[in-house]
Amino acid sequence: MPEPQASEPPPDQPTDTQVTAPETPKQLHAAAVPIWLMYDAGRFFFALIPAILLGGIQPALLVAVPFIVGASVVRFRRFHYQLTSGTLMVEGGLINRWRRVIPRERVQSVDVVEKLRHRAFGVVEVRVEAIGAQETEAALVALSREEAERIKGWASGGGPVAAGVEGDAERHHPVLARLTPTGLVLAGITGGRVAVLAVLLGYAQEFLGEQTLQQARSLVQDLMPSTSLVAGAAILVAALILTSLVLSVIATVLVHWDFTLILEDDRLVITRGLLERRRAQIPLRRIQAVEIHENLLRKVLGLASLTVVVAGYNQEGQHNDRTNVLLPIGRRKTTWSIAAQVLRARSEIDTIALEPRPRRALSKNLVLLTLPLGVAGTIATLLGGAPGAFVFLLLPLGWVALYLGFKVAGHGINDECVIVRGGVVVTTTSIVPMANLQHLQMSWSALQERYGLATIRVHIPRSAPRARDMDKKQAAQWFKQLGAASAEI
Amino acid sequence: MEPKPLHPGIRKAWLTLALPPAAFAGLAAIQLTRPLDMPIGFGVVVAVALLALAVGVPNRLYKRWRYAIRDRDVYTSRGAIWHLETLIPFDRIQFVESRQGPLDRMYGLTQVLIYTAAGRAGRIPGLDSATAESLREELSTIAGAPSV
Repeated sequence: MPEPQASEPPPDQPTDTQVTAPETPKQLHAAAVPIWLMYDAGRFFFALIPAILLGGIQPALLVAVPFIVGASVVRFRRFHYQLTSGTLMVEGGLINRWRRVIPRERVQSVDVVEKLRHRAFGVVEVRVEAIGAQETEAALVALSREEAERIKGWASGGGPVAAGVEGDAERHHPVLARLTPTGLVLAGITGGRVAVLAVLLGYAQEFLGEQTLQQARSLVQDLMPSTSLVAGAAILVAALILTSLVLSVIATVLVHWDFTLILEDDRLVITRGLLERRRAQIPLRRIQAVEIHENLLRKVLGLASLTVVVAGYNQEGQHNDRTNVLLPIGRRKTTWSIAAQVLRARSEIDTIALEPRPRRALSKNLVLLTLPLGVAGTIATLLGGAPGAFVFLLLPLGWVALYLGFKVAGHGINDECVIVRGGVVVTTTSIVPMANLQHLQMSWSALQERYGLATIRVHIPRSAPRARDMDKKQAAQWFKQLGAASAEI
Repeated sequence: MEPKPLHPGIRKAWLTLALPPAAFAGLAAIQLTRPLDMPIGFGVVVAVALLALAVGVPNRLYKRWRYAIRDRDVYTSRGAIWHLETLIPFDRIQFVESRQGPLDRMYGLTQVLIYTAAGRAGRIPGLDSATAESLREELSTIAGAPSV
């Protein structure tokens, strides 16, 4: 069993990032033991609850503590990793031994995570994500910064990297985006969480119950005896919105503090986080599409956020989290410019004219909304009297939403990429390079057929943006053109 | 290659799938007219409509299902109520799979499934086993992908 020397490369090993020959299997930094202990402590605590209830806390701890510590030590001694020029081998296991070999060409990204527990020991965690994996393929929980950089260098093909020092990377490579504290606050305020809370407030009465609301009312009246009931309610709502604003800003600051996006040769490096520092590295060739998001508030202010769709990228096991934030907030023009650089677009993608949906698409959707709601409203009114007519009140809201959706929707194409835009509350513009198209679908319902409309869906790994309610003839032309283009690339 | 229809046996398979639940729902509709104090004729109309759908949809599906192995891609066209056309370029095919469920076996049919990096891109049901095997091999060879 090799000695725990993982973080320090042996003297005979090359010190640059080029791995020239297979090295001996290495262990993690010794800090892995306390870090695993911290990870496991919470889990074991819940498992111990029945034991504590039966025999008291002391006997339970007497059994559990040596067991947890012993398990972490054994886990540490059995965990090894080894880099060769083409593969990363990771092996370990407490009860069942396992070994995993990850070919370099399958590596999707390498993230460096620095939580408080890592900072306490002066180490970082490296997470290697691979194509097609359902979870992080290799989690090296404690490594020195130098070793982390060496692994990142290996993943990017052994090319030179700014070893260990983030500042160096910034000096040598263009910074695509950096978020100032003002930007962070703006991102928090306009992020949409406040709007969600406002909507939830509408349902508060349903969930909180009369008694809780009564207590809140009394509290306001006790604090401000001279205020009326309406003013009190307004103050309460304002206080809740203010609280949610503050919470939203705090959350954004924690997650995106000192957000920096750097283009290092053929990869993106994203650094962010206050308590938990993260450094993600995404090879440009793995990027499937970029998405520009604008909610109603941000649209008015000319702001947007930018995310990227990367095949096979998992964030802490959240498989449905398909995208990564490239810019939490920025001017709309800036997001388009970054999108073009990230996609290495030859043409100016922001000048591609997006065609609106034909007007008959709006007519079709009005029929689709009005007919069922009208019938439901009529039946409800006949059966339930005046309260049933409430259904009709939803109609104008629906019409407004349909009109807004119609106004923002659009689609465009050139020989490099497909652009699709849609969404009312949050408008998303998906930009998909032609080279990433996997397969295509064109569909139409009976109603769409009647109005001469069709929908095109472009499938890429992990996403399938669609251009809804296009003119049917144009959709057929797109179908043919995209099919030919993707077969040629 | 001109678009081809599926094996006629698929119509029987789809009918086998659709008729029992439609008949059950129809009977339930007739039975429910009594507790709901509605004329029994209403239940009969619902039952007949359901049976008509159970017979009509598989027939329409069969009539509209077409597939073609073209110069550079696989093309399928289908749909009884919603129409859907799929295009899978050969270069994007990751692997091809043939599959036989219990119902397929009952009618001597096989399905061919085509996968790209974006997931399952297409499924051609209702092929006779020989056609399915040769199609699987043909697609795998064209795409340079191993068959399953």
